Amino acid sequence: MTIKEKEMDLEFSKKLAEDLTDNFQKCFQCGTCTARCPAGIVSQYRVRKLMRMAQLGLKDRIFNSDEIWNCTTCSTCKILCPWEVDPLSSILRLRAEAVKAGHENKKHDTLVKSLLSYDNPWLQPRSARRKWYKKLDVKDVNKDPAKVLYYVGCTATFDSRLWGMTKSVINVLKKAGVDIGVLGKEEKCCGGTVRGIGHPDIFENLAKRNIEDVNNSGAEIVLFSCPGCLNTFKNAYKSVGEVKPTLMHAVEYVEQLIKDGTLKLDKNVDRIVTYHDPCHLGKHCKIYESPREVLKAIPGLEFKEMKFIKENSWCCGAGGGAKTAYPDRATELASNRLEQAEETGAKVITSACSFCYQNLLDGIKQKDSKLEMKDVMELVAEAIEL
Amino acid sequence: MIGVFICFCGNNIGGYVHVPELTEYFNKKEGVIAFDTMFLCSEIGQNLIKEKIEELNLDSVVIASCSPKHHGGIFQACIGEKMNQFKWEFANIREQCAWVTPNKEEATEKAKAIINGAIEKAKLLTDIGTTKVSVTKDVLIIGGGIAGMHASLELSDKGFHVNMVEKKETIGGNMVRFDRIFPTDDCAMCTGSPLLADVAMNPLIDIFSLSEVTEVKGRAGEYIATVVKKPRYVDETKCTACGECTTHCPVEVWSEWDLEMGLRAAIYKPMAQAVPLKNRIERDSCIRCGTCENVCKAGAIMYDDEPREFKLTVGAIVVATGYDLVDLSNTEYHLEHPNVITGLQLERLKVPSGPTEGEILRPSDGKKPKHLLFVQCAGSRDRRHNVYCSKICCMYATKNARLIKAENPEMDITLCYIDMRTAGRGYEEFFDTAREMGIKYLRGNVSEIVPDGEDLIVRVEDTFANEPKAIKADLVVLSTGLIPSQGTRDMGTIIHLVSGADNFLAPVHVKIAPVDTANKGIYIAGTSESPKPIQECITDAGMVASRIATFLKDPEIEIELVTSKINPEVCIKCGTCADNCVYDAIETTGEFYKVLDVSCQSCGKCSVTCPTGAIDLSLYTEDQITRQIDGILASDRDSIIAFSCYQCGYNAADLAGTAKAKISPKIKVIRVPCSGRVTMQHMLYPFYKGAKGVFLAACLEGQCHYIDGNLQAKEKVALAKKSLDIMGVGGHKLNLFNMSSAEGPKFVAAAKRMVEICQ
Repeated sequence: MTIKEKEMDLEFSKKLAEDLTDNFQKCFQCGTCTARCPAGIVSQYRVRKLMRMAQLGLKDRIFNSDEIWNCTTCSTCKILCPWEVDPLSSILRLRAEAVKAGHENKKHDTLVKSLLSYDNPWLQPRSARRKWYKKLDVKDVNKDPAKVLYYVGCTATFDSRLWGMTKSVINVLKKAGVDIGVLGKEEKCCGGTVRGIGHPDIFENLAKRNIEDVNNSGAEIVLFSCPGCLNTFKNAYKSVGEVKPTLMHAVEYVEQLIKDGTLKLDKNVDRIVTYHDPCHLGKHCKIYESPREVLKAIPGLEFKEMKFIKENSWCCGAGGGAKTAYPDRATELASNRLEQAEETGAKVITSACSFCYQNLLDGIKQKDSKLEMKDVMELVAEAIEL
Repeated sequence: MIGVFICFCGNNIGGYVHVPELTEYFNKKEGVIAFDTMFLCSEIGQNLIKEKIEELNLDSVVIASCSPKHHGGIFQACIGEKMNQFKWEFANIREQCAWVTPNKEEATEKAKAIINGAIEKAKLLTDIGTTKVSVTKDVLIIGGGIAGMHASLELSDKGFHVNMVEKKETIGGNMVRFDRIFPTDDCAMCTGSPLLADVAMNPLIDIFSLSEVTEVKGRAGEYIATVVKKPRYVDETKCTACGECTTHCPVEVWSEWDLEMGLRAAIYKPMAQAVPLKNRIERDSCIRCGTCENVCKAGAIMYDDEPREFKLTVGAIVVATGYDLVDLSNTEYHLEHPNVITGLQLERLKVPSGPTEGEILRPSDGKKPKHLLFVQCAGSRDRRHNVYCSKICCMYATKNARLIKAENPEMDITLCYIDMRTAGRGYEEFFDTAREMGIKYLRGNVSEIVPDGEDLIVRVEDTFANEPKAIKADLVVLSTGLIPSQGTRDMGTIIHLVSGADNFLAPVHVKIAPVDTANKGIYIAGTSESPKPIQECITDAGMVASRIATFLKDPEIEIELVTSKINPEVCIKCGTCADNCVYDAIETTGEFYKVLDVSCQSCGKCSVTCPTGAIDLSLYTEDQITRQIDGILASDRDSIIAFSCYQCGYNAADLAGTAKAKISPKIKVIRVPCSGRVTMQHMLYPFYKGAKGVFLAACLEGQCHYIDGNLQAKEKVALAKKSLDIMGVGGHKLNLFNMSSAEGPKFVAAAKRMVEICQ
């Protein structure tokens, strides 16, 4: 289809070039990103082509196709680009522009509405945030401040399949004598997902309130088991305000506790385990070694690496609102990743992310895989006498 | 009496500045007489200058016209006919005034200030002489590759004696390791070996193999180079290269010459055509079993051979130290996999005399590959490796693809590229035939190479088809990018040559002086300057030979003594200047410190660092610069002084003028040889006199023509800023801006920024 001159909104592309300081205009269409883009495997989405359309200001074409909504925000494009362009920033920006122009993805509507009403994307009442720890003795930091605040994240809070992970975080840290608490029904969505699907205004509102919450909680450390939340707090909040407590993923903290001898792993876990790098923990927050160090410290555990790890790891397919919009594509990507895990001979696939957990679990079910899904923290819990 | 000559330059100045008003104004000034004319550079204009110098017995002259970069030489020669050739100062009222100031009144006022500054400086000008020094007719060529060999033959043909110093055991460089060369598909050795033989036989060329230059001292026309020759452990006078030793040597290690595609013994010669044709023991792999000594009938083995150091005195030097491949081991390219090889390794596989006798056999199992894939831009056009394009890879990969396809039509050959760059005589046609032969050109940069047993899976997007692909290949060839060789980088430090941001040696001007360096008598040729194909190396070599023949044509060369001078009465012999001089131009051995006029490059950094003010650079003396500031500020107190280095900042200012950019009339340029010449006194003094601001326009960091002048200036600026803060003036009113000579817009931006700051 010929590109007509009137289709090219040069003001639009000029504005993008001004705002996106990361070499947006310098993309020379080499396709390095696209050859390795996970979304491109399961859809017609082409990062390179999208960059070209954006450079040409083909606004309406971009807004009227579903392409931009396929990105899982894994950041592989940014890591691979030989010219240090950051296509991911461009995509996030284009999504925001699309929403502004009234072209939001309808499949995200419920999620957005739920957020505006309940501060979580899963249409759950606030009080349901306490469900998972009903039988555990967990401090509510609003009443009784704690040194460590566990920021649970919406996905793990409301999906009972993930409660093994959240409970493990509490049990393991308590065993190590850590003073830990949660925000309970006052916890709000971090805003990472809405930021990813083109709603910077809703994100900013949540960010402000969250920053206030954690800064006023009196906690020294905010602990995460969801790297999506961690990345949002650590990297995306910078533009909104200053988060005072130290931000850590649970695996980082546990690594420290093991190394300084506070946490003793004394039970054998006779399992063959492989580890899947969550994109938001690895590529975004550059945490690659902590989960591996923790796994290697578990007695009896046999650790197997997959072929594609760390920066080269393949995305599970869940991030960036892609799972909500296109669940089948997400599961297909999860199946691809599971195949790579199976090749190692491992019986357990482990990760350190709520989204990866959910999506890989769906993949296991669909694929009828023999693999068992476990969070790293669950394996740590198995290695200690509770 | 100072004569001021003002040029209309047709409308170029006359259209923007009231020239008659200037003439009238300066005629009223005491001790000054002014004239104007239509074209000062014309014969009429020059005659006017000469007449008036004689008639009025002028003490010195001010030329108010275009940039001295333009006609400076003409005026110097013209004035030199009647008085000392340095007793004039120019006022650049075209590029730096008329062309950047749209308002005629403002332009006229600015011109007054510029001319007034020049007059004040001219009052202090003194005679500067010239001297003649002898030159040595010998030439040193560092590097015996294709550029070095050609230059040596050209120079010897012109009658010069050449010393060729080569790091490796043989001359020849990289080219003699290739199979064939593009775009003619000639056998590399068929063209290379006659050259090797010519160089070897030439009585005017002395070859020092296994040798390295470790130090260069002296001056243009008489450089003294220290050379260290590493031990060969074989007596070059006795060895007949019969090869008995190699046959019997029990050692087998990877051959460096074959880039680990084949094996060698501990005693070997890299190729049958080696020059010198002598064997060599590589001591790290030698097990000292004594076998070679037993079989050598010539008795040439010398286990106790030692390094030898000697000095060569030469008039000129050619640096032709070449390139290396960028190291891609332990990167995403998986070079550690046996079936991922570099383009240069492929050359060794293709050479009929190489380890596989010309058969393309993959290293893992010695089988012929079925799916061969070339990865272009491996390490080039990639900010994580080299930003630049390595220029030759599109052609050398295409050459190898064509040759392999012609011999193996059944082989599937794919070449993945970002852009095919085939500019050159016969190049596009070469590429055209390659496609006709069925070589698959896939437009997309390789994203990932994944080992799959002995094969490889290559992920790449076919960007024309808009489809990502995973291609299975059983041999992957990386068209690896070029970087300056270790030798090239070493020479940069040893001889104090300027390198670019890419670490290749930089010529004085990339377009109009491509083989000259900032150091007189030192030239660069071939890939030490940038990645380039063989024919360009040969062109370089020819040009270098011609430049040297011109430079060394007379027994003596004339040197203008625009150099630093030491006042022995003030000098405390602290050694600061000598430590600071990268050209070793300060002699500290005698009773008094002395500047070696022939070595001095006139940067003036010494005069800035001298604690007592004993050393000063002629034509840019401390007082001359101060008076120039006075002259400008007396005419326009609100000026912003822009000290501009003559190598970059001044050019950038001129370019801004040529582009007719708008620059505030408050900006007044003062020419300095190097930003490192500007003292803290110069930075602070204008503020005492009421100036609104001061800035330095210096070369880009790492690209100072005097190595580190701009870095020294940076330190001084930081200190002066603190002083200005303490004085209450505000350090923000003094700044340093880095720019290349081609960056006119940067000068404009700097000027604009200063006006904003200093308002």
